[in-house]
Amino acid sequence: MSSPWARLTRRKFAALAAAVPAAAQAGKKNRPGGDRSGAESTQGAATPAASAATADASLQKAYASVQKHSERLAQIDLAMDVEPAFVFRAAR
Amino acid sequence: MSRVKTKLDETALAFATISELSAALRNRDISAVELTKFFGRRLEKIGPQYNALAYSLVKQAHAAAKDADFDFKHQRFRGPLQGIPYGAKDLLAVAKHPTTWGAKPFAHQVFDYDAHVIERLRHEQAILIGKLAMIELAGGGGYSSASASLQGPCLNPWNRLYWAGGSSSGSGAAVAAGLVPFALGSETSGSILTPASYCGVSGLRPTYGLVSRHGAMALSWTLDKIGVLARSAEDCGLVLHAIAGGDEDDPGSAHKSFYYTPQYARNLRDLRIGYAEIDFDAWADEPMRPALQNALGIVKSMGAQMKETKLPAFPYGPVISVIIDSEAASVFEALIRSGDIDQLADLSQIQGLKASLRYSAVDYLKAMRIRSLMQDAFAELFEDVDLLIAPTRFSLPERADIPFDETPAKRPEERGVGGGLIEASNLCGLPGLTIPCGFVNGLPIGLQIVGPPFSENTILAFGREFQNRTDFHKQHPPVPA
Repeated sequence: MSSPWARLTRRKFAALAAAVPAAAQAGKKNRPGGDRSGAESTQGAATPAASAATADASLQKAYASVQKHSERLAQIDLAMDVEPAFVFRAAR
Repeated sequence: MSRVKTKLDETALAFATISELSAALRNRDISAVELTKFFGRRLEKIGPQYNALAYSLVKQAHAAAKDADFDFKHQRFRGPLQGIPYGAKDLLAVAKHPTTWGAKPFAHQVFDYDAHVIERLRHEQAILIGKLAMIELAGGGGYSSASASLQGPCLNPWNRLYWAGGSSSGSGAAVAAGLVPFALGSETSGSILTPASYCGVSGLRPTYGLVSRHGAMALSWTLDKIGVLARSAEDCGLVLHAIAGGDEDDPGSAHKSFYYTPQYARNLRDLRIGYAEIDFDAWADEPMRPALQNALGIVKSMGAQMKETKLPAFPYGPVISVIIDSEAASVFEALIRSGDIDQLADLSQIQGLKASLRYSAVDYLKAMRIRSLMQDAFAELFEDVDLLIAPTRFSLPERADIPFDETPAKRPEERGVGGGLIEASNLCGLPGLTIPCGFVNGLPIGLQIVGPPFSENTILAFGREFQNRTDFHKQHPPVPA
């Protein structure tokens, strides 16, 4: 609990999150659909017949996007009592 | 069709509201069989011109229409959807017919049961006449062009050079082109609001859990919602009334009903509307600003209490990406690991889904914990305002024939309400409505209204009042007969 984020309140979190550049929060130009989609993803040819090199470059870009999101969330520390936004039920 | 031609102009019929069509059916100005033939013919003839039709059910619809007529004849009225044709996004199961999820690996998939919403609409004697095109797998993994669909790029009826939006592409295009009076769509993050806005129709994304998703393709269990695209806020309310309600077969069900009660709507003068001037100005692409400011002026004239506000500051984009991608990777794990994922049309989507397997449990849980804080922040925000309004999109539709421009849009550092609102409202399970609010370069633009959970009646009342004062929703593209 030594982290400066450990006692993070919602208001403190909001203030810290506000420091993130707007463009970074909004992603790139918004891509509709499963909406954030292409915004943080890859751009490549539209057909699966694209060359192996293109496919590999596209995959590497997708991996980089995953890494970027992971690192972005890792910057945020949360108090222990902030539970995930879903609830386990003992009886279904 | 002789009665149709004498009583109702065909163009007026194609773009009539549910209430107008229901009145015509009850008055016996037209029969359900005639109406089904009329819309069925349009859907089969015009739908493919926009790549909007996934699968026609017009032949099968005839028997259901006859049943509706039988009940009309005996004055057994079931409600405003009785005898009204409609279309459904091709991620909803319809027994014994293909349900492709817009994706080649599932092109021959057939279920032996109906989705819950299809059952509910059948109970109302609404007539399903077709499955409508969609972005493959509802866009899971992220796509790079409008061509990411089994039917090809869904074209915008207002201008075929442009995309109809996604992922409920066919639902938006079919309603806009007068091929169905309403359509079902789904939204995980923008998939109803975006095509509705791009196509100039009204689109309602209900509160998470209000409408059962049983029988719908899962993309993200904690984000998926089924909703409506229609001609007006009023029509959205009528359809939501029919499809909402608890369902034991949907683990996410809120087990709540929805009664569309326009007669009990709150007085607009009592409503506090949260908005940000910057959304209607510097945040929007320049050509859109005059039309958006005009729309804001109309809102201000409605008499509600306008309050400048800001969206709570959170990294909505990364959080929703981690959640959707993680859940989608789990949903489609077998597809990805088998290599069948390579059959998708869009390379970005293929690689995006493959890469999503790399998210860790810690990433996902972190995103879901931040999501809890977002819910708290929005609960606090809705103590100060009753509704939030913002442009639905800050840009016009993308071109349908070329890959999307991935260049980051230049937006101000200062944020208002609209930047991130689609992601935020989906993360928090909030209901949202988009209504047409103007035209730019011949393309429609939309205004979105978001409220706290289960505030659909208030949102719809606002939309109805806006539409009482405007005719944007009554305009339609020059679609060939």
